[in-house]
Order: sequence, then structure tokens, then C-alpha cells
Amino acid sequence: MKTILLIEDDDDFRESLVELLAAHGYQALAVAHGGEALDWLQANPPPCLILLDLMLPVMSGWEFRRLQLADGKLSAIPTIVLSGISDLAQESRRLNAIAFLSKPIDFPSLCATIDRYC
Amino acid sequence: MEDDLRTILIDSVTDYAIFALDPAGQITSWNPGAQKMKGYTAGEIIGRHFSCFYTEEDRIAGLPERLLDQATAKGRVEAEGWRLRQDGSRFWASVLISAVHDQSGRLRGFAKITRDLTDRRRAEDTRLRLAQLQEAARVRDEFLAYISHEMRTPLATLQLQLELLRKSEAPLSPEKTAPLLRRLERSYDRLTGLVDAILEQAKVRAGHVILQPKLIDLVEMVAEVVEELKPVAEGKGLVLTFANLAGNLTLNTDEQSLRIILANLIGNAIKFTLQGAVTVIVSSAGQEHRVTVRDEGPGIPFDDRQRIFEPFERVEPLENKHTPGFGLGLATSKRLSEALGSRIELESQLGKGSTFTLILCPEGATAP
Repeated sequence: MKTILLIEDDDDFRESLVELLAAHGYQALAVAHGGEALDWLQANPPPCLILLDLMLPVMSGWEFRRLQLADGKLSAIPTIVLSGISDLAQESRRLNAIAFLSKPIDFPSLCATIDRYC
Repeated sequence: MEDDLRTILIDSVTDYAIFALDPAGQITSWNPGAQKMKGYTAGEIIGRHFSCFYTEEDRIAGLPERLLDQATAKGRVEAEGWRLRQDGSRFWASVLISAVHDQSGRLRGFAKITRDLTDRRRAEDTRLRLAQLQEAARVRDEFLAYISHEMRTPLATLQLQLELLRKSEAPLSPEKTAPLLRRLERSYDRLTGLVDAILEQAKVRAGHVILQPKLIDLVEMVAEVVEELKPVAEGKGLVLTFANLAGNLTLNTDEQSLRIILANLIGNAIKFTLQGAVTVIVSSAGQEHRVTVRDEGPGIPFDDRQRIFEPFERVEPLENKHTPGFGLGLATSKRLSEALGSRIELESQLGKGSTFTLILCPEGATAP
């Protein structure tokens, strides 16, 4: 089964989403910020999808995305922006993400997007 | 011949006002450029003092005389500012005044060249205004992003618990229920905290704080708030300690307001300390009672020490925002403490932590 990488700093949200994805038959691995995500990506085969929160400690989602796109090995991994900020559509376009999901998330549409890429 | 040439030259200039003053500042010559710019004909203006071109504020402030003094002392002076036309309208002038001396070095008067830069000045004003509007829009967008994030994050967690419940095979085992309940409770607490913070701040801002002063035991009250917040501190692995250095302290004040201030100060100390201790000390010095809250958080940069007492202000940059909250606690506490006739002092060292001290006067609460 392919892995989804979730980058999310809120413990409760992160744990719940991993659990819920598992209940729907998806395997998700979660890290708390952009720096941890880059470390994980360097050490593992690429995930089928990245779910990226934006407001993160240490390394924000914006910064992560900039570094991801600059890295030839990582830039092609489809990335969905997942955040509670207003204007998410605009930020998502700016970050060149394949899709965005505003928190609280529409779970069926998240599943549909995952099925398309994983 | 040379004088004729000079006159022809000066008279042919219409974009600059070129005229002469005697040593006292009275106008002695006037070119067509000056007439075009300021409106006066030579007959109307020659013999008058040049201060008539200055605004009333500048005249009262003695600007015309000061410029002549500077030109006399240094040979020349340049200035920009609003000047008046004959019809009373203003224009933005760039002015050069040069002192003119005769061969013996005696001051004969001044040559004055003025350029009308109103268009440039207006364009600058427009650019500046535009930049201010853009900055205001940026701050507003950032603020909305931040409020939205703060409210939507706990809502999203609540919603995921609903999805988990919906997905689960009934009935849930206690092991599965426990984390669900814990997350539901935390999200509920976070949202409640946000709603309370907004409502408290709104009340304080609207001046709707009704103080009900009564005699309270300060030590007991601080101990109670510390006790209430102990589970939060322990949940983060922090040591929350309380020390009373004052013996018995009673105070005539509004209990609810004081409780909010203490909960904010101690709650913030816990919120921003990642590891280590939070220490709360009650002490008394002279006429003042003090509640000191010391944390081992990141400290507050010097430049941010005023700002963090304003509503919705935070030290953390938005992108890397990690600590939940609206940035209202300190703003509310500051206003409330002022209403109580007390004040909050802050000492902080980057990397070492912060100390907030609430200083109360035993005379107690005054009306806001």
C-alpha cells in the first residue's frame, strides 16, 4: 500500500486524521512541521501524496513547499494544501498545489482526491 | 549690456519664480515666472515683505526670518514647503535663497528662486497613501487568516471525531473512546477559550466592565488560580509553583476581573514555556501588593513589549504560529488592571524567559 505524508502540527487533528485514514484503508505517516517532512522524504521512498498544513512551527508549509519545488526528487510529489486560513484557494494557487482542502475538511472529497493519486 | 542680458534671461524664465529681496526681506524685483506661479503682478508685490508667501503657521513660527538668517550665515539656504498664491491657494515650493553681497562684503539683499513642485508632491502623497492602503490590506488579510486558522483548527478536530464515530463499528471500546473524548474535550475547551477571550475583550473595549469591589484574600485567590491551571502545566510536563512571601494580604477589588488577569498571566506563562518551570510569587512592598509570574519561555523581544499588550498582537510570526490563541489575553488584562487601578510590568530576556508583575494598590478598585 502506498503511503500518504501528512504534515500537520496540531496533535489532535494529526492523530485523528491518521486514524480516520487508516479506518478507510489508507496508510498515512505524519510529521509536525516542514523540517521533519524534508528529513523523512530524504530517507524514504516518495509518498503518493503530501497533505500539507501551512501555519507550522520551525518550518512553515510555505517554506516547505518552496524547498520541495526546488528539489528535483521531491517536486513532482502531488501536494494538497490543508489549512484553516482564509483565502486558501489563493494560497493554494500560489503554492502550485494540486488541490486544497479548507479545515474543517470535507472528508469524502479528501478520499476522492487520494484515490486519484494513490 | 550685461545687465540687459541678465534681465532678458530672467524675464524669459516662466517655470521658476526669480525675484530679489532687500536685506529686510522686502521684494525688489519680480519676473514673469513669479507672476505665473504666485499670481501677483510686479506692481502689486514689489515693496511688500516676502513673508506674504508663507502660510500663517509658518509665519507664526518665524520661518521667513529664519530662512533669511540662515542664508545670511551660510550664503544660501534651500527649503521645501507649502506656500501661498495671491488667491490664497497653496502650492508645494522648492525654494533657494542666496545672500547677495556687494564688493565690500556688505549684505545687499537676497536672490530667491522658487519652483512649483505641487504635482510631484501630490504624486508622492498618492504613492504614500497607496502604500499605506496596501499595508492596511495586508495586515487585514493576515489578521483574517489568523482568526480563521484559530477557529477552524479546533472545529476541524471536532469534525474528525464525528467522522471517526461515524466510521466506527458500534459499540466503541473504552480504549477507542478515551482518545476521542480527550480530543473532543480539548477542542471544545479551545473554542470556548476563544469565544470567552473575544467576549471579554469586547466587553472591556466597550467599557462594559462593571466592577463590584469587595474585600478578597489575595493569597487565597492566587493559590486557587494556580491550582486550576496545574493540570494544564502538568500536561505539558512543566513545574508550576506558588510561593507566598507576604503573609496575609487582603484587598478591596473586583474579584472576577482580578481572576481573569491572573488566569491570563499564569495561563500565558504555561502556554509559552516549552520546558522548565513557571513560578508565581505573591509579595508586598510598601503600599503595593505584587503578583509575579515568571516563565522560562522564549522571552519577548524589546521592540515587541508595547505591542503585545494590544489586541490580536502576537510575537510569533504568522507563518510559524504554533501557540494557540487570539492574542487577546494581555490586551484584556491590561485594560482590566487599569480599571482596577493597578498595572502590569514586564521584564524579559530573550532565551531566558519573561516575568509579568501585576502591581495592585490595597486601596483597591476604582471605577473604570
